[in-house]
Amino acid sequence: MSAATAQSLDSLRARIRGLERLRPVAWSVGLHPAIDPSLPGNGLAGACLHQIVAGAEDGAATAFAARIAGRLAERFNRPVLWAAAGGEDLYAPGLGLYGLSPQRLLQARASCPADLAWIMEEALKCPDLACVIAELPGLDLVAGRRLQLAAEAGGVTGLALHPFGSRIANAGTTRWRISGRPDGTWRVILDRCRNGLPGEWEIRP
Amino acid sequence: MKRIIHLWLPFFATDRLTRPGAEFEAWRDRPLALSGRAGGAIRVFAANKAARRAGIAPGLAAADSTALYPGLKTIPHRPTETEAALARLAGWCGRWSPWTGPEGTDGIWIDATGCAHLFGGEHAMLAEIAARLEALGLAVRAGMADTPGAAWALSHCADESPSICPEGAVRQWLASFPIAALRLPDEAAEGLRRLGLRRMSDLMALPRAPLAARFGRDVALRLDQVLGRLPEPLSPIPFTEPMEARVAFIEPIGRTEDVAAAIRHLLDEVCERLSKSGLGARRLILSVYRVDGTVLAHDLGTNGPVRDPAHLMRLFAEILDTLDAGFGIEVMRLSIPVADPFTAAQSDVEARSDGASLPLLVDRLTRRLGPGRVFRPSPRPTHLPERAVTRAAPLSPSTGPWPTQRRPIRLLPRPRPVAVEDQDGRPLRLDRMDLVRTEGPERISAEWWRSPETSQRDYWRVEDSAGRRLWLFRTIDSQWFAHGFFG
Repeated sequence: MSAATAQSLDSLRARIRGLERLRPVAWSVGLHPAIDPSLPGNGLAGACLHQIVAGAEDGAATAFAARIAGRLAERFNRPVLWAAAGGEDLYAPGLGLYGLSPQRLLQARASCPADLAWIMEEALKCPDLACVIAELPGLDLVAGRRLQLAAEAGGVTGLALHPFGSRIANAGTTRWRISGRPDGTWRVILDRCRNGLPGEWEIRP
Repeated sequence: MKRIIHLWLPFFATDRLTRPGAEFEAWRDRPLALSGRAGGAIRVFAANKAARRAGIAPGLAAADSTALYPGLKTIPHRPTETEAALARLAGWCGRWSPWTGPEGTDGIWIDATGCAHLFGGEHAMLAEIAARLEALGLAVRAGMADTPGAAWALSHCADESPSICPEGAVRQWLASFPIAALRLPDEAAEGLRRLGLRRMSDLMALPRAPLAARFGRDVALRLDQVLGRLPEPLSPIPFTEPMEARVAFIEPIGRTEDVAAAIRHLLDEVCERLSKSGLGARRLILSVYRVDGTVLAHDLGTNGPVRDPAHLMRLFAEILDTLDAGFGIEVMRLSIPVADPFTAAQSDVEARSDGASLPLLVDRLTRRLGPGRVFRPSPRPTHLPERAVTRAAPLSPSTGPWPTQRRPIRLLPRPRPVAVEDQDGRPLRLDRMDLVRTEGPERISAEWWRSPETSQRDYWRVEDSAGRRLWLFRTIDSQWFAHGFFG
């Protein structure tokens, strides 16, 4: 391969990276020693949108999101916004168990699910927050793209928490499926990870 | 020397309800009374002129008044509404003097010192005031003198109205007035009357020291106030400069950019004045006057005092999107009806981040979602799990302390009945699925004043063979409910 070919290949690769926005991870937050090596930047990429999909019931996925949010809140010493539209209520006294202090929690209660993506987009642009979590029963590509851009603009990490059976597009930087196992552990499936490797783990909450 | 006007509106409580255009206008010349509970009975609190003529006076039992005049219209007495209406009227009287205030339940003070020449002299001024108030359907008697006490005496006891006591002539002018002109409590006036003191002159002739010793401080005080020997400060309605800005356009505007620039201009102006007064806006009203003669009003609220034009501009962003300029906008007006003191701590928050700050976010979310929809969870000292969390204001200081027991991460809004097979109260199977782990019981009893049958629960943390982790409880009558999920 001639030098010229190699050079044009390199420039083409750079263009593709630009198109796919595969920029190097700006900063990341460690999740678990077993999982981190599979993730680009050795942790969950900050200032991005991540999707967390619940298995049969929401408890484990909620706790997984709380675990991530708790780490971000500690790291930046800032509050976390949790947006939901009703249903099985998030229960603040149970969050401390997963490292998210209820003291850091700010909740937004939408009257219809359509408001949730708007809340999340607005909140992601607010650099005073450590993390934004929205319980989204659905997410299409366009909305997901907007959320990703908002997260980049505000430097805030977004977690879209999808209940079991949500209709969702591959909008996030990563997509996780979380379910509980009868031995008290979580089954964590990383079934999509931009610039990283999918995988499956069993970890203790 | 001061010049004080006192306006006595003897029938204000009823007049305001029967004035032209008001709800009870039809009863203007027919007997109408306001009644309410006094002690153990329903009594008349106010009666209009027609009712007085029929012999119905305040203090009469409502039943007696209906007996006196069967056609009497009786409506409930609302003292706070009357009081507020009187304060509004006193504010309206600010057209004659900046120094006005309500007096009691049926009077208005106006400090007219140096104002009369603006209205063509004192006589013309009083005549205009009386005519204006009568046009509003209010019976009025007006008095003007050097002291509030003397003006009150004139409005209540002078033979004619309006009645003006010339400067420096209070003593001579009031000498022939009855003692009742002194604003005394009934008992004190009655005491004086029994001693044969009927006229002000009788009282003025007495040496002052024994007067106070004999009849109490009230009598001496009121007399001194009437004669101007003691100052009597009036408490005016605080005159506040309305916090508002206005912009008029030579050519009507309609483009969104122009409207945005105009709003920004108004905000800059108002925010500068807010920061001069150390205030922050809590509520803003933007009025848009269109060429076609219609006015659109937009109302905005904030979660805390704000005086950052950029912050407020973002709150107006959604209004801008939906604003219909029609054929053009002629005038825009921004007013701030509610402002709160701005503290240094809030300035810090504002300064910390570059604009898109947390208070701004909270304001925008609250505006879209409605009040109370953005909040901080706050612990409540109760044992009942569903009552243990309450909502605090989103920007309130830290909440807590939070209880440390193991609690689920999701709580069902209301407990859901489930099929559980148990053995001596310990759950074995849930929905015909084996439970692989059970921990408990944790007995939670509600406060003693709630009935024990419904409020004593034994909670279990269980995990079934599908990996679901639930929070179950068993009531005292062996019903099982699922109440939440663990992670």
